[in-house]
Amino acid sequence: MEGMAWQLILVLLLLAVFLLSGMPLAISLGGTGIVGIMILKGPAYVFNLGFVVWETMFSWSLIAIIGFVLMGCIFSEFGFGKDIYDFVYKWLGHLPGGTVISSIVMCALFGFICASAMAGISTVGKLAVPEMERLKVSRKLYSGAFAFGGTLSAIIPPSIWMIIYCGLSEASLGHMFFAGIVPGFLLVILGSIYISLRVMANPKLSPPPPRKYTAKEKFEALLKISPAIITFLVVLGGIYRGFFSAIEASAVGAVMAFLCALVFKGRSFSVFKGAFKSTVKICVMIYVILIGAMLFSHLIFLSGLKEFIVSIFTGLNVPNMVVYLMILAIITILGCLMDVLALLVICVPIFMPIVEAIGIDPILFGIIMIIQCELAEVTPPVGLNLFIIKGVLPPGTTLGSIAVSAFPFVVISWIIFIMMYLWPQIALWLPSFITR
Amino acid sequence: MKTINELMLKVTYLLIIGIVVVIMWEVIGRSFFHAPTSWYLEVASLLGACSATLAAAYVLQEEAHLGVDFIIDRLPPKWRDGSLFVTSVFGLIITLIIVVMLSKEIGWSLKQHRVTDNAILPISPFQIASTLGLVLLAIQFGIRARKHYVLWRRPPQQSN
Repeated sequence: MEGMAWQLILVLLLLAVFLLSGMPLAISLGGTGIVGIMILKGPAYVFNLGFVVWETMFSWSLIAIIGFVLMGCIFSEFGFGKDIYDFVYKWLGHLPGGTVISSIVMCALFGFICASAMAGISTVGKLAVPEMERLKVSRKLYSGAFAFGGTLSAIIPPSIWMIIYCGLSEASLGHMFFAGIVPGFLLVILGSIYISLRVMANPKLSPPPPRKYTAKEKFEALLKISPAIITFLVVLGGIYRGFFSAIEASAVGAVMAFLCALVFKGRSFSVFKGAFKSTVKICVMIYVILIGAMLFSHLIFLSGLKEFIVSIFTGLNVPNMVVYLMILAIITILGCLMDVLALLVICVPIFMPIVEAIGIDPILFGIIMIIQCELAEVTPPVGLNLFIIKGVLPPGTTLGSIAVSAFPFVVISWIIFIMMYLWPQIALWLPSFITR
Repeated sequence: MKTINELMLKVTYLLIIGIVVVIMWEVIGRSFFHAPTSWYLEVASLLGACSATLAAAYVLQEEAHLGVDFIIDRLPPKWRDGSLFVTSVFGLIITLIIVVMLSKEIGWSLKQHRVTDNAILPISPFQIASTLGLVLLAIQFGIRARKHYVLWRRPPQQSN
């Protein structure tokens, strides 16, 4: 047992050194896996693991990443983001704190059209910040809302993180997509209620827009985003009605995005080229990381560390709820140091056996983990989303002030986590309803 | 190398289009003509496997591979270049090990005449294409290592 503990420490230390040296994540993970297996089984054994690499690349579920990333990149490159901002602002701007609520809702809607939360926050920030500053909305209020919005875009289907999580945990992708909708909706509602209450208590925090928009203006805004809404409905409706699988839905979504861009935004070869280039960059980066992650997982499997880690947590003789909270705390700490993708590929192989041992549904855990990973991105010192938000805010805003503004939203998310632990049906009802 | 990377990028565009076309073929064929295929997922996955690595060198050239860089960014330039040289050499070695691993897999596929279950397509050409992508990635790591080695070893007066 003591030997195993040393092995675990050695593996984690090696991984930490590789990661902190600035090595690409794929090489850090693959390198740890290869070096670890070489020590454990000898160099000759490693050269027989070509099947691990090939099977990762040949994975059917990962095809979905390409289609959904392409769809998101086409929508983003053709400027559908601005249309969504106009729509949300015109429809929700008049509510107490409506300007800030709009940014949260927009981030959630962006989850559908955008490949990553980072790109979503950046785009929403660029569009919303000038308006917030013009209306003299409290920077402390809206910067926290942006940070919170990033977490929402990660659980609104089709999320790339969900596809990667399913690829690593073998959970059902279709179920995962639907499982994110109710928690996402709850987060939007609770976040909006919090903002409204604060603005009602102190109206100076978010003055209302100078004028109300007419019904005609609102419907024109709705018409502009109808291509994205139709695509969303076709993708999720198609999966729900059983017309196509989640993998096929990705290609359908990409074709729909292509047609929408052609019909509503006109032909522009250079913009399509930009969308393809972004797609290749994102997909290749993810695929190569997953190859490294699979080699790392193979090390965990071969060394028996998986059973050892489970025995550590289950041997603590504490309620499952405490184990669950400990896992979330570890993810939060690691999230201070690395990106969501890195967190997922490192934590899923390690935590999945523990989660199964304490009886948490993998789909439920996936949703919680993805939200928590995104929340960790707004935790100093290195939360990636913090830097992105700081980049779109006016000069003088500090990382610390953004993190402090985001804290109430982190509390809201943790309330949802505890609710989901106590009532898993919050996340699992919709997927079970779909398959009924 | 830049030209080769650009070429591979364009090949990857075509592979992505191919994946979308193959899946749409199945969806349309099954939904409207009651003519499902048994091979579309295998073909799409084979194309996906090639697209996974062919542009990997291009992505490294653009420094778009994800890494934890908050420490390295705070180092003095000389130290940063030294560190990037070391990590690039390590990247080169790891990539070459994976190339050898895949080469053994290719040898086995060729020997066994391995084909996909439904599409009956030989697997080895696709494995060769994927391995080629990794070879290019290894070369790109070599170029990156050389670049940072030169910057690292440059006398201080030249760096101004």
